Amino acid sequence: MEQIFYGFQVRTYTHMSAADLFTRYCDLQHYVGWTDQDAANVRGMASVVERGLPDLIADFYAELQRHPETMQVITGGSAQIERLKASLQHWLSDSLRAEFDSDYVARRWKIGLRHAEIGLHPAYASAALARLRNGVIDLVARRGDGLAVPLPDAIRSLNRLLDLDFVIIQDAYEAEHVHKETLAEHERSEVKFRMLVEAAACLVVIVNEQYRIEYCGPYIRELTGHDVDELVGRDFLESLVAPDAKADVAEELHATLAGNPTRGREHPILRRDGSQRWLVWNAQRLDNFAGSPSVLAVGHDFTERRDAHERMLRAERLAGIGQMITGLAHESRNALQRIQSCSEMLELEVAHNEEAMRLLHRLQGAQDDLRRLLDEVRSFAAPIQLERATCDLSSAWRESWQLLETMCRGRDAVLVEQVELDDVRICGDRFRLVQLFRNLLENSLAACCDPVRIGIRCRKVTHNELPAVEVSVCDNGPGLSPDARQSVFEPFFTTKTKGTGLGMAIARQIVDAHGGTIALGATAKGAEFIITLPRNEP
Amino acid sequence: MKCGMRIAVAEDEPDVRDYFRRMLPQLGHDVVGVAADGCELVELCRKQLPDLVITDLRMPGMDGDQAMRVIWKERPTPCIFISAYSKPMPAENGGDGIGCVCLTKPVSRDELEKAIKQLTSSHADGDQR
Repeated sequence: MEQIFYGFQVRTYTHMSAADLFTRYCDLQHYVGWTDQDAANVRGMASVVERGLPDLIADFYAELQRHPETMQVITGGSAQIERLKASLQHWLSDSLRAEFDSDYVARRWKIGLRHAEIGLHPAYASAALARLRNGVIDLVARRGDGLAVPLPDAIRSLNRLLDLDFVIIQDAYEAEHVHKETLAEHERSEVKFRMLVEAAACLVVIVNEQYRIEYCGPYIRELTGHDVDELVGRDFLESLVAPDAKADVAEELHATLAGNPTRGREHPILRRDGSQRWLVWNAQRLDNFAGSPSVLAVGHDFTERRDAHERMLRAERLAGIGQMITGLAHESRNALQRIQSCSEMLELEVAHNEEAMRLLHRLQGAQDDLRRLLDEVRSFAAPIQLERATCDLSSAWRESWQLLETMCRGRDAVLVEQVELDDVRICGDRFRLVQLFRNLLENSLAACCDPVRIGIRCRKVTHNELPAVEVSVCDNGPGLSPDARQSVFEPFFTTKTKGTGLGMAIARQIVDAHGGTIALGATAKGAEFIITLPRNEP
Repeated sequence: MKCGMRIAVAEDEPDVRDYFRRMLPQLGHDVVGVAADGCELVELCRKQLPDLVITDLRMPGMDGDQAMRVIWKERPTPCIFISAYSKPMPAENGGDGIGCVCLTKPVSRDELEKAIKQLTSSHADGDQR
């Protein structure tokens, strides 16, 4: 018991050991004027007081039971009251007979502690102590004739003893009461803090010096699909940071731990499914979190804003390119017209010269290529205006295939349709859809070695809750490299040695204009493009 | 060849002017004059009253479109616009049933021949493309 008590005392008075408490008790003895004579006086009246104690204690508990405020802390019924009576008797006898050493002080401390623990209101604790004091003095006064010292001396000594006892008891009571209040306040503020952190639509992470996650707010689930439990204790860089950003983030964590806060840095975070979200981070050092220096990092998701910004930049860039291309195309067409005019006139001159005519035809071929190139670049730079009508997708891709006949000549290339859908009609721009399929099929033809097998599959899907058709175009070529997968829809990206690198960008433009999506499939063999086009039925 | 047309041409590029001057007779038509800009074209049409006009759309000074508005007010004349834009101006021209075709540069002899045939065979069909 004593040990537990000491343990508690240390917890309560972190600045005060049992020895310190005793030192203070001795000091207080001087303060109230306690002397050895008082100790002798008290011991001298011990038996007198003890004789009257049972009545006094019975009266004390009878009074106690008249007050709801005191009764509510007595939960063990009459059995408990009997125990309490015994310990009160023991305490008072102890006070009259004990050595006033450090153990004595500790026992008094324990009494105060116990009263605070059971939750007795301090006003009632004081009133109870006052009643006890009066009771004991009354007892002594009534039996004054049996005392070895004059009654005033006896009462003075008794008062000094009880003053000192009560001071310790109240001190312990206060300490425990304050401690309990502090704990409760801590808990309340922790609850408030938790509520704030956990309700915030931002990611709060605490990372230790080894970059392990000490704490992670529940928003992580919404943001990444990871559960908090599976992340705590794991390496922050490995589990949440996108590979490309690891070096930068590690550097910033290092700097933050060194005391230079991170402000407004943008880094992607890795989701469970491997995709990324962009966060803007603020971080600062916590000198002591769970016993060691850590970094508190708060990340706000700004992926949508960033995407919008990128789209805007792309649109601006394309508008710039568009203007340039328009000018270039205009001038080039004038020049092409002059080449055309002159070569046709030359044709009249050399009509009988076979070799010259052959050269002229080759010139014509080069000129046609240049013209097609200009058409392609221009069609990408200009905003798409759809001329919508009911359009059968299968007839569109068949027409595209037909247009590629010259590319297929002399090759073993087959278009395999696996269309289980009866109705593949959408309301769209037929010319543009033919262009879309032509670009896709042309890519496959260029990428695949013979025998080329291009498959087209269709199925009914919904897109943004509207009826749509999904068309998958796949080939038996080498497929796309990871790099190519990243950039395949970027303008001017190409794996071919010839071409503008606009084919897939235009394909995406056309699909976008139709309110659909185009994405790469996940096939292991060959390339697969999956196009979703809303039917847009009138 | 059966119905050779009297054609007025406007084009600011000398190479292309030469081309029309040489190629149109090859297709069986007469070139009644070659203008280098819109003003010259208007004058030319007033003098020669051609059956058909072939004009570049963009020329210094008065451009092809403006010139044709003037010409159409005086005399409805079918017209082939030649433009360096891939999407030429919509034919808001003549209106009153005057044939009009827009071609995008570079224009080949075949395309030219086709356009002329189209205009001669359908005088009253209004706008054509």
